[in-house]
Amino acid sequence: MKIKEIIDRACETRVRGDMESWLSLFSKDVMFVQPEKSIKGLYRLRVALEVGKRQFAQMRCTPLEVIASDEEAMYIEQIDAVTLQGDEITLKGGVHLKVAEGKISYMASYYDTIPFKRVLGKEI
Amino acid sequence: MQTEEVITRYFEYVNSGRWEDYVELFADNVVMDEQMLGHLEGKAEVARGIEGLKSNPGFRNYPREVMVKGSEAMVIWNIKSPNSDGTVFDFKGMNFFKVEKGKIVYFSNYHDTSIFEKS
Repeated sequence: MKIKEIIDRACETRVRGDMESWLSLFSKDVMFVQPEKSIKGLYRLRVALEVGKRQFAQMRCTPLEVIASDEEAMYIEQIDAVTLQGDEITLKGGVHLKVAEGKISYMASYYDTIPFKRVLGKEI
Repeated sequence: MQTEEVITRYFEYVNSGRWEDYVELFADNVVMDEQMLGHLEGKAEVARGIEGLKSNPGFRNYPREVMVKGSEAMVIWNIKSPNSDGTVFDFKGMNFFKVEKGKIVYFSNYHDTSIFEKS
């Protein structure tokens, strides 16, 4: 899969809530970096995803501007989320990802956590 | 100036306190979506927006990863900004640049702002 296809698939699997397909895009030793935490390994990423399921009814990401090479990409994404209580969060963020042997080996997201904290009342 | 050179100079000027040269990297009709300052239009607004940085000579913004494609560039950076109480804001984020005729015509950045609320 080309890197732009991986980006599109990562977003479309999240939109339809197909977390198994989303996780299948990542390598076993993936480094997944969020603003306040880093997750190493597919197992821990799966666990973190389970926590997210208990917070959000919907999480949509839409790639906007993309700069990509064969194995690396940076892109701006539109994030639209709805909590289980119906609160809506919308913002943009930056993503940096690296691909090795067709799998995402590194993904770092840069976004403001304040909109999430104001709604969820805690760190995400 | 090519895109990559504009980006190089952007960080060079920020990290050497050359704020007048920094402002001149932007087109007169630049549009900026800055995480803290909001939506700015025009070089004059950019110049007003960075006034606070001029009083912090220890402010540094280190580019870590850079990708350039034609007139667009994205940069992962690490800011280290000393505070008056001796602490340092140390955080990472991403910038997006659009460059035309050697000038930045659009700029946006993305980072967590919660560290400022904790202080």
